[in-house]
Amino acid sequence: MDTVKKVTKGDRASAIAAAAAKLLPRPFEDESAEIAAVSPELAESILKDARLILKLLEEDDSPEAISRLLNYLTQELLHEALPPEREREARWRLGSKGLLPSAAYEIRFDRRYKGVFNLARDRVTTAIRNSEAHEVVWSASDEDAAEGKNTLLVFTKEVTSRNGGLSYDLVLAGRDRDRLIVDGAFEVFPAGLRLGPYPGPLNLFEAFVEAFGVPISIPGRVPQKLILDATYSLPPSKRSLTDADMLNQLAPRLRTEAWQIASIRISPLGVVQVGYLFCIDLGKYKKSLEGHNKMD
Amino acid sequence: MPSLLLYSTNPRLKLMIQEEHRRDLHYVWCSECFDSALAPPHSLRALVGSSSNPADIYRGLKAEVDSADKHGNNFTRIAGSLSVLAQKWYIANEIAEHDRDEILYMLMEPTPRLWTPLVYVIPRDAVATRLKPVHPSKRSGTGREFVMEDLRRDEFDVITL
Repeated sequence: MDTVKKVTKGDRASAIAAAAAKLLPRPFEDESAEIAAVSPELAESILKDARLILKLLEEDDSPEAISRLLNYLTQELLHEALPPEREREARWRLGSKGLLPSAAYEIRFDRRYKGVFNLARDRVTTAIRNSEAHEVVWSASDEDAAEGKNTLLVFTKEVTSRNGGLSYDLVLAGRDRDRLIVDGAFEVFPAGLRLGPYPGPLNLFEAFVEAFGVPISIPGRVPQKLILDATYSLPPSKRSLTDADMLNQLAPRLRTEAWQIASIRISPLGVVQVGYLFCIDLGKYKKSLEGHNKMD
Repeated sequence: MPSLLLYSTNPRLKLMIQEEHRRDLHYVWCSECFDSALAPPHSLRALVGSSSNPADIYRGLKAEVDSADKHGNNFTRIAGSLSVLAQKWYIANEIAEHDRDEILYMLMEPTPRLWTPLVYVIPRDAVATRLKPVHPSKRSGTGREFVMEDLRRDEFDVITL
């Protein structure tokens, strides 16, 4: 639009907004939607430009014409105010806050996914994008995020199995800005699980861990299958351990295949902060799938 | 007799914006009944025009969401309004630049879930002293309409139909 080009770059978004405000059927949300810093003449001139570009007659105030003008100016305003770099940063912030819809996150898979889990990646992606609901298993603080520890989410999607029964695809994924990194995915049959009357993702996840998890012992606590937000101190001789070493030490020794996942931080003073920690007995889980005739 | 409840229809996106970027204070345009077409004939409530009738706004927006019509009238009007307001709030120093960017991003990447219409149900008693009647010249019909500029989240419930 020629008129907009003559406006200082920093003021263009306001000028377009002022023109768009004139098209709102009434002050829709606010009594004073006008942008104070923009002259009415400039706003009118931008409207004229927009009509020319859209080939709309000046006297055409039909709802269709107004709608097309408003849509055009809104797109121009978004384009002017949000260049690609600002757009990417806004997306990251919204993603970190969990305010992007599930469908808007980029989905990636942890390198350990292949070889451990049978659920096809397309199916997992569908389970996330079309999940009935998702809930936070563990929320990373800013400090955790700075160390690369991500908030852990659980997604569930109802699936009708081949024999007509109900099952759920249960997906565990870490949230890293605008990406979801899939750690694990399970097909879960509700029979035999301790579920509430209307199980949400967290209830399903906890019941699943209760059924297929392995008790884990950490100092000062009775063995539990799901450990969330636990803290304990290491003796001086063990303060050089990394979080990977610590996970190895804490992981139960099983005769069957197992999958454990954790968020662990060790401070220089030897304080171990376990965000979350659990271990699934994959042997037991796969055996239960066989019972449901689900093994591929 | 004044109604016990007030109703307003808004997309989920607007609820999120007000919660996140407007200190959880909600600006709503509301009516005394959900559907003016079902109000007793000849009552003032029956005379609220379609463009302010919460039921019509709900149905219109839902149809656009269901058919993924990003150029529908409701979608265009609300997206236009929110983008203008985001810029206005930013220029007036009511929100930071990153807040404006986040609002605009959500308008730039419209996902159906964010546009799901929600019905706000507002018990009138708690807000009666802050209700502002809309001037007759700005109403969609002759029926009464109200504006609340600072509705708190604990003063209304949200339902979907």
